[in-house]
Amino acid sequence: MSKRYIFLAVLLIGSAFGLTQLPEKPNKKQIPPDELLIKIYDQARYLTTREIAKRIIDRDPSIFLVDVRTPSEYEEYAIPGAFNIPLENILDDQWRDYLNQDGVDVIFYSNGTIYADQAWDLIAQRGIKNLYIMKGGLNEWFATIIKPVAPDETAPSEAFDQYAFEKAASIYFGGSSAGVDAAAPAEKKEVVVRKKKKKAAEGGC
Amino acid sequence: MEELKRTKRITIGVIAFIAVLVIGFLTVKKPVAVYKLSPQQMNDDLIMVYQVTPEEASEMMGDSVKNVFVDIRSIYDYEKDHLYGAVNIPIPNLLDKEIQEQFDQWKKDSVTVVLYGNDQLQANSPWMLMYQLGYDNTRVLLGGIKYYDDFMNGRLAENETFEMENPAYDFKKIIAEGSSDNSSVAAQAPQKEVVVRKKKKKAAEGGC
Repeated sequence: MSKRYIFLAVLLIGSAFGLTQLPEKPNKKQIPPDELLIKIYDQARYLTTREIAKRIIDRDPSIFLVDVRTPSEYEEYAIPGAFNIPLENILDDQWRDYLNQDGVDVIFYSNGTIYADQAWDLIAQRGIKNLYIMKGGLNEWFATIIKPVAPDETAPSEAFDQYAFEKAASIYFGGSSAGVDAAAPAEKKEVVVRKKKKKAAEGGC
Repeated sequence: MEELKRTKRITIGVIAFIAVLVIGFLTVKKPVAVYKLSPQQMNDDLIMVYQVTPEEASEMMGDSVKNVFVDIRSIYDYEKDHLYGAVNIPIPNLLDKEIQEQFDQWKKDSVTVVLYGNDQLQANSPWMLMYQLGYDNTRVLLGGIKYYDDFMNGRLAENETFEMENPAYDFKKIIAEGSSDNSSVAAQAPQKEVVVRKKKKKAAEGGC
């Protein structure tokens, strides 16, 4: 009888050891369509160009701008500090951890808003929370930040406050509008992407 | 006697076990909808033609058997103004059972379903969702209802376009001008360097 027990014990230990040798499964979970629909309906994913400009000027370390256009477009002009991940490669495994950072807001932008929205849609399926889109894209960025238009004289004072901010931001980001020579050079920013810690034992059925 | 008791106990145990299994299977939550395409397949399909230009839309409007327009805005917006013959399905209702049956029916009859919102952006994500659920007969109306109305009534501004992704400015030139004005600006976007720390491998993770 004791022989049988020993055999069972060895079998169990053996199979337990076998489990440790299984290949690591990448975390590829996908949220169900109904959860994605709720995210789609939520308009809070759109950030205005002014909000983003303000955060860049304030050197907010918790934003990560992602330029989803092609590398050649990115070379021509990109928002200071933006990182280029073309839309067609956005799902590649090498970018997985860039787009999923604790406490860092990932903001997609393109020329308009469509490509950024598509990138958002593909990545949001992973159930990641802090993903945003720059509403209006670079076209809006140039219309408001780089080349702001002065409000009418009859406009409310808020419009003038906003314009004052836009003019200052324009100088910061290298637009020429105000013609003032003091300008803060855009600095090289180093970002450390921390891998998300995995919970002790995840997955498994 | 003793033997009989034991057999009885085992039988009861087995029946209880099977009952638990059956109840478990019966109460499993059925998903509301299932993706037919993986994100990767979806991304590959994005380069295909899935949009409808206002010109095409006005032609399709004539054939209401083969084409249907779906207004994904709220009931309020729909009541105010909608395209001729359009059906109203607000975004939150897209996954309702009846709606999905309707979409299944449209797909079976190979009806082209054109989703539209106020602009292209509003219909973009809903379209991606429906397309990924396997309704590959869905399209997006470029420019949305506002552009379409202006287009039909000839009220378009001179260089107004429904192509949102075309750059409206010569970005490089404007920045170059800006930096020549302000002698010291480093306007070129600095490349961001990202350091990804390798994650330590945990001993035993996942696996089925």
